[in-house]
Amino acid sequence: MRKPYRLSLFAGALALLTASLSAAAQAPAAATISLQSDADLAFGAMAPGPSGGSVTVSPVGSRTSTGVVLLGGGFGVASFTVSISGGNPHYTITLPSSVTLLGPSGATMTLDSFLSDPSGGGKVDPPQRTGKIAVGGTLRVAANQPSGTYAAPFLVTVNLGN
Amino acid sequence: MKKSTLIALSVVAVAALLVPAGSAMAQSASAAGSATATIVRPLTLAASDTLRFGNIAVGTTGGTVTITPANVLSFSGDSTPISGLPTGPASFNVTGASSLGFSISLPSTSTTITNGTAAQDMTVSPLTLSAASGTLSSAALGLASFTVGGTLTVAGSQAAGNYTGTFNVMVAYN
Repeated sequence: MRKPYRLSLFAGALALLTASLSAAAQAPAAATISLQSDADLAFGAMAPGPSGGSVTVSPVGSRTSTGVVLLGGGFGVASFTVSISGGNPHYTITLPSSVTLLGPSGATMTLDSFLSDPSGGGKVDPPQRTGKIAVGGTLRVAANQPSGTYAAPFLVTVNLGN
Repeated sequence: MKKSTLIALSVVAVAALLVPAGSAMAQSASAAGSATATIVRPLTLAASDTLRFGNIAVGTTGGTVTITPANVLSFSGDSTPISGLPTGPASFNVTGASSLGFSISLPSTSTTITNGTAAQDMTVSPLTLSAASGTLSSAALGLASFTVGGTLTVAGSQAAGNYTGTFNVMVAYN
């Protein structure tokens, strides 16, 4: 007589472990950094002088110029919010070296000399573990700069650590 | 003896690494801002007529000759007009951005005209503006104009001759 083989299949623990693993899972404590853009870098309206020049929006929010007549308001410093979920609250900031603003009919202006406040890096504040980063820069304006609206995106990067 | 064969299937735990959506990588994050600027056509200023007091007959005690920005000519004292030369206020043309407003100013409200001999210099004071401000027209190349008048003081012993001079006027966007 045949005896049935008893196959017992044990489905072992089917553990579908879904885990959100954070980086640096060793001391210091794991953390995630994020960055959000809150306000754009607006230079406002301006008229080039006879030799052209430059316009600077500083990280503290002032606008100055050389060789360019500044018109009205409508200018502002760029602002970002950095968040660090835990662990070391310090971060470093990387700014672009320059970007090219695009205007009417292919006209361009260079934006360089980016500066931030805090400068180089900073520290998020408790209890929200966020910080604000202000970013300014200097726009180069030619004497015969065609009139119209100019714009370009620029990227700011933050990294965990000192 | 039959052996039960246990086939244990163990499904190995699968650890799924979830990366939060958006720009937040674990150690580094980036965000894009937008940089913007508006270029406005600069102002230009050109003179189209000089401030012309014309031909003046000099008396013995002196007088004044006034031209208003509206081109009204008047005399006082013993300075009197002689025909033969045109008279009128200086006029200026402005170009700039469509529909923008601008201010007009005279850096100095008095100027001197000379025949080349300093002792004979005559003063034009005050210089007068047709308006302290203007608005460029709505065309793509905005246009505007204004005039400048003045009062010339003539001495009783003023030498005959041609007298000329210059003055500065400035326009600036509001």
